[in-house]
Amino acid sequence: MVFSNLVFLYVFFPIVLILYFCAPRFLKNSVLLIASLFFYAWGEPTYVFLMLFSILINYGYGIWIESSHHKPTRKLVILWFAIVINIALLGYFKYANFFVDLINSTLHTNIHLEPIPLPIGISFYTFHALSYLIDVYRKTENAQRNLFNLALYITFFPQLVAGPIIRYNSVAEQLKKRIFSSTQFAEGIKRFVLGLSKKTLIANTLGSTADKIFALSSGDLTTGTAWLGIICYTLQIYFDFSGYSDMAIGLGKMFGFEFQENFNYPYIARSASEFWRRWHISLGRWFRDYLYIPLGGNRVSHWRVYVNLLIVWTVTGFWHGASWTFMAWGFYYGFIMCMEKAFLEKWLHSLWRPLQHIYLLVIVMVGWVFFRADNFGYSFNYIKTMFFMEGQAYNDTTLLFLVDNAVYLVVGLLLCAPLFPYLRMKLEELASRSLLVRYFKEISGSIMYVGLLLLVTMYLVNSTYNPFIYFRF
Amino acid sequence: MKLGRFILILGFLGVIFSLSIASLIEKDKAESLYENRTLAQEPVKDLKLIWSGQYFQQYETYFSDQFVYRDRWVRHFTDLQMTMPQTFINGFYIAKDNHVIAQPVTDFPKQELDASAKALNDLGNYLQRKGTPLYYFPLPSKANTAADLLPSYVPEGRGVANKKYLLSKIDKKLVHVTDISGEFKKNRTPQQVADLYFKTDHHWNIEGALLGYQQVIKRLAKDFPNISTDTAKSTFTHSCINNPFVGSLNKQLLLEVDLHADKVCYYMPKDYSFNDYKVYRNGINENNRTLLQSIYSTYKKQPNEKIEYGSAYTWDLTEFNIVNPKSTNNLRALIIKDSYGNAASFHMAHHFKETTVYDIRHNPSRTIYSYLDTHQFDLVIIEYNDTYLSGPLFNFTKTVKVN
Repeated sequence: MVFSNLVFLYVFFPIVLILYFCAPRFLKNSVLLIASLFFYAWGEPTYVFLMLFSILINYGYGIWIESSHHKPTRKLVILWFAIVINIALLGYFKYANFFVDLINSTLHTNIHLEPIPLPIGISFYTFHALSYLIDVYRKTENAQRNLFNLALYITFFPQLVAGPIIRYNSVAEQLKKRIFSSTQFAEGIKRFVLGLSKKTLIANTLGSTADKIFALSSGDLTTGTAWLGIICYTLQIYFDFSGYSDMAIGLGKMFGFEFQENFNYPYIARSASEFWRRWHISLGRWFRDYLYIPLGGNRVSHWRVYVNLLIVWTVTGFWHGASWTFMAWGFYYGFIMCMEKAFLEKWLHSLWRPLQHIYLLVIVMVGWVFFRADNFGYSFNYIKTMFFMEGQAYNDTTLLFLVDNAVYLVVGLLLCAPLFPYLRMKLEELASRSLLVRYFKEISGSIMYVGLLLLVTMYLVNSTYNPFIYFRF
Repeated sequence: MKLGRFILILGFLGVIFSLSIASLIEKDKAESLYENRTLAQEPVKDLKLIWSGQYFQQYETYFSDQFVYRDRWVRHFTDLQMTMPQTFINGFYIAKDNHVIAQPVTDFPKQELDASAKALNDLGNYLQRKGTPLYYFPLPSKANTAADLLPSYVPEGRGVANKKYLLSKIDKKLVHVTDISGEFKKNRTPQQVADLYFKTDHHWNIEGALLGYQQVIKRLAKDFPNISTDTAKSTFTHSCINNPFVGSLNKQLLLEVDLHADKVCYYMPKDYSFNDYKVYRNGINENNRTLLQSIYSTYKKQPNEKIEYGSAYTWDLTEFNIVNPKSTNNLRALIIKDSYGNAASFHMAHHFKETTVYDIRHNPSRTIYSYLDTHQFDLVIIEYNDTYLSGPLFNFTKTVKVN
């Protein structure tokens, strides 16, 4: 199930709210756990058992690691064993077909493997489990003795399907004790509605245009259309992903949890390194703490730092999907970060500030071409078209896409910058001076969020509007 | 501040719970008027369905189809789109004078077009062996012919090119093909061309239908000199009614365009009357005899009654037959048509002794071949509008079922 769905909003969520707030304190986590399992089973009834299996073995590993604190070698072996098992599960479902294809093409073999459907959220819950095990190994946290609490950490429905990747040590206490506050609940509503609006009103609309443009053959692309396509996709992926994170954070707040931020206006960054400190923050931190630092991080020789960066970013790319284009996308960022670390960032920062932003946006958009396109051939052609090396400058299709998406593009571009917090801050300044403005701000703000919820509902209902085209006859 | 928080929580929970409860208690609807389709019903709680995940997909479709005030939500969305600088709303462009034009098609379904050409050639070959000529008239559709009203930046669609491709693949020795679209554009401005069609419907109006009818008869008269050619406008009396008109395109726009944007008009013959005809449903047989009024212009003639293209002229029917006792020839014509043929089928009947009007979509139990095996005609005419160049209507060897 996804959040931007009428069944979630008007069936699942109201039921969970009633059950959660009616349940006695000791049953609240159980309610959330059952709801989370049901949420997962909604789309993947069979794979819920795979997730339960993963929870059970990691519950055992956690306790086993903790009980081996006095035997470091044994503890390390158990940790590695647990990591291998978790990665193997992820690897089988996510990468087996990729590797079989790779073996077949390099060794000219004919190994046949039926396509394996990818269990939803497996990348996220595997990383949650690894975070838990490593935190227990590092003694940052004690092993969770309550199986249901561990299960809830791994399966909690707001972050189950698309993150953010919650570190075990950041929620361990909250699993035990949470205090309901209407302020937190109201903040949760705001965040959830904002995320829902980002996803439904902007990401879905621009995504549909990006899909149409990326479905054009290379011959039909013009420079203008290619730029429009990648701008739409750049906005789509940001509003989609950050919207989803906002919804997760908002839902978490409504149930008393505080999750770390996952996005911080990444497109206003001025270098790739800064971009990744603002984009999918939880993933960046996960790889930093559990891969980059164990590899030696910055405390090794210069060349080794570069190698570490390339490894981490290639793995990051591969985590996003089992294809060479994802790996290339990760490697691309690794390479740019190495360049920035070596000399580029220093030089960039000496430039006029807008040029630094343009640099980052071009870097990111070129990267998204690899991320979005199905293969290298299309990616390279697309990039060549973007930079006037192929096709016409523009045509009627470009103008049609531009006219039809103008409103969404303008809104999207404005909201990529921290305009909303700026306006809120200004309004708060005014409100601090006038009681009337304070009332206006609070009441109109609340009405705006309820209005946005209704607007989203309208878009969601319309997305299923499906006239039967009998009239064509 | 507590008041703001109170409004927010109450408003949010109020919306979530009220729409949730209203959706669950509201009686499920069987079909949607605007979407012209049956709505999903609650799926059966079957373990196999649940285990495969299909139950959940079906439930999502059911819940959204039956969501409370669904039509209103969609109408408000359409309203919003109309206030934004969108070229196409639900796939349609609304010109300044309320002319609604469909978004041009951009695909080139080569295989399907080849299959249509083959089907026409095979049918022509079959009829040739029976000594019956086959005529194919791709009637100029609004989508292809009135596309000049679209903004200049809208890319040209492939509709006309697809038609040209199909026509190029038809064996002219087997099928007599006549493209009459040139006559529609001749000496007319784009606005005048568009005025041959209903503004809010995808069909032609009586002006377009009459022009199409004149061109079809003109072509047939070349091969059949006994066919009368009294088709000039001057031989008809023009009249219009002021009833609200529910156009098919307007329905797609949730009737957001004025229902009086269109006027339904008629050209009734001066020198003869449709009442002179003997009309039958499903075969010429006294038991099948019916009244003209039960087929042609079937609306109830109430002053504010809403009219559709079908009730203004003729609905799509399985088969109906018109015998013209005053015919100057003994020709038996079979017209295989889509809804474009409905506006002038009674005009067409004036030129033959017997006219059979046949709709493949409403004959689920027989193919056109099985029908032709047992019926004899002197000529067979296919009249399909030129947006419909492939698909079930060209499946002459299979039965077609359209719900």
